[in-house]
Amino acid sequence: MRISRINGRKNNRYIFTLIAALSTSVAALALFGGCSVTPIFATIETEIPLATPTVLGKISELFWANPSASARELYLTNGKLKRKTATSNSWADVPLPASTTALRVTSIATDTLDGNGSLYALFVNESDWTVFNSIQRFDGSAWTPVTGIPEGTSIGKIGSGNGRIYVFVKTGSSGSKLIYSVSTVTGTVYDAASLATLQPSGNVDLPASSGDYVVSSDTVFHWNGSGLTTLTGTGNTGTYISVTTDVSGNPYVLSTSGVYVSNDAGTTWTSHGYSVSSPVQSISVLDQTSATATDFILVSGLTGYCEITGTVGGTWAASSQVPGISATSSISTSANAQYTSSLALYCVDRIFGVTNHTPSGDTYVIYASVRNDTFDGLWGYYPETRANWNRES
Amino acid sequence: MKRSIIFICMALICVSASFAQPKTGKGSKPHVATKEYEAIRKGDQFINIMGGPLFPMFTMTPNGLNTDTRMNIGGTLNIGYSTFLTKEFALGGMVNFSFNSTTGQNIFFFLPVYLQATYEFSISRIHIPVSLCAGGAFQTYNSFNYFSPAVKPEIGVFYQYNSDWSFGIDAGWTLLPQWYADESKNRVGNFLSLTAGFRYHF
Repeated sequence: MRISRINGRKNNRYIFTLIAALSTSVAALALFGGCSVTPIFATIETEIPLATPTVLGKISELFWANPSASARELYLTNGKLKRKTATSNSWADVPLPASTTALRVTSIATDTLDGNGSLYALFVNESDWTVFNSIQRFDGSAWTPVTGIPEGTSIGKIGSGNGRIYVFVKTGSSGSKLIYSVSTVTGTVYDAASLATLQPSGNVDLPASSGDYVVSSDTVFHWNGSGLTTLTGTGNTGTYISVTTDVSGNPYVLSTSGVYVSNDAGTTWTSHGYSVSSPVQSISVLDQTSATATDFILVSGLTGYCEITGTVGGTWAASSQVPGISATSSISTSANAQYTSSLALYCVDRIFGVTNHTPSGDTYVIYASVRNDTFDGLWGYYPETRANWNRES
Repeated sequence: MKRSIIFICMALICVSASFAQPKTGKGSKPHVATKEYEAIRKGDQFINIMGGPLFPMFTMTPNGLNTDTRMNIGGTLNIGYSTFLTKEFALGGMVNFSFNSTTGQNIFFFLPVYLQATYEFSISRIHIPVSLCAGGAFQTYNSFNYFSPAVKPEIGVFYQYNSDWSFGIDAGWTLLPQWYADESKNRVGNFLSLTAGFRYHF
């Protein structure tokens, strides 16, 4: 060995060098140990160029509605109101009502389960995004204000229902949290009667409603035909986050401790685990409508989302899986790596499973509202026409 | 990242300290003038800092070469130290800070720590070092980390401006393997770096 021929103290120093270098490598291994099982180069190979986004910000709601009673259209709100018509697969702005002050939309709601309902929007003043302006119903081209709202009523949110929409009125506060009472709108008439009082709901975007169900942080309410009654027996041990319903009206309640499903109007419940980074954010049901196709409960969290397989109106798996991890998934197995390098990295504060996606021709589409400094806004996955996750353009 | 920086500094200090030699003292020989000019003498040391673009060339996969790496041209900064064991052969260490952006607007970053062996041709003030670097590379991409061996052959051309400084360019080819339990995901990344910079001799 060449080094061994060098005499004296230098010989030792060179050996020390080698030892130092080797120690460096070993130390690096120790420091940076715990390699990820996710293949880096193989994952990068699945990346796609990101589209120029057209829907930015937080998308608080996205659903089918048929305000003109002529064709279903897909609506969303991100402060503005946008829609996809039956013939156009791009998001177009819907003109807001004429007003003496500029308006913004804080929430939208519909009044049926089948996607053929009316569209309602809650408007606030753009200058502060807080001061209530009006609730109005859209007929496809014009807006009609909801009547009967007492002067000075402070409405924080509206929510979808079944034959009505729910109106959440700010009635007070507890600490830094708001207390709401629940009222309704049927047609274009506001009913001020308080159906329930909802206590502060933590940091999540509550209260939430869907179909005949309303949830606060600790209670699930059910519309019994004339008012809201409290449901028990969900088995929940955490804090309620959100609720959604399928086309038959069955409730799917998201909690910090699991997903709770009832096929009999809240009499009996089954619980299902999910695995997504905390805090969990939202829930959606992807009903593929075909009797033979698997349905999915989608649960989004701090990084990406997970899915629970099963059948709407039937049984669901006890636990969730990563999208694309198996052939029975909301995305293809070939899209799993691309999901890993994109949506799985970001906070998905809302997720929406949309079936019979007429504008694109897909049997379903999954939309995700991403909260991220660089990649925020609406993302979409189209299984037949664009089987990867990308920003909506 | 903070931990990485501290670690690199400590490693460089460790390597440097092992080469430190007193220039004066009881044991040192008196300076003897020589008539013959030697471009490099045994015991010469230098540190070098080089920077430049990093080109992702291709990955070797179980199915052959993949030239569509989905990585864009990135950059690299090399910091090294070497000492000559003979008039031609030097041994030292080098750290590279390297990155490439990706198609999906993410960043692939890797930090190789090499042991560097160099054979240096000298023609008057022109020096042509041919090196082989071998070591390990910490790699990170989003929240995914990996550590693997790394190999990098290099060739450069330097102009000796004076006894302290030389300036030049360098081309290196980095081989970066990634091996996983699922062998279909195994890859060997191939990167070409073209850098320019300086050496400080002491």
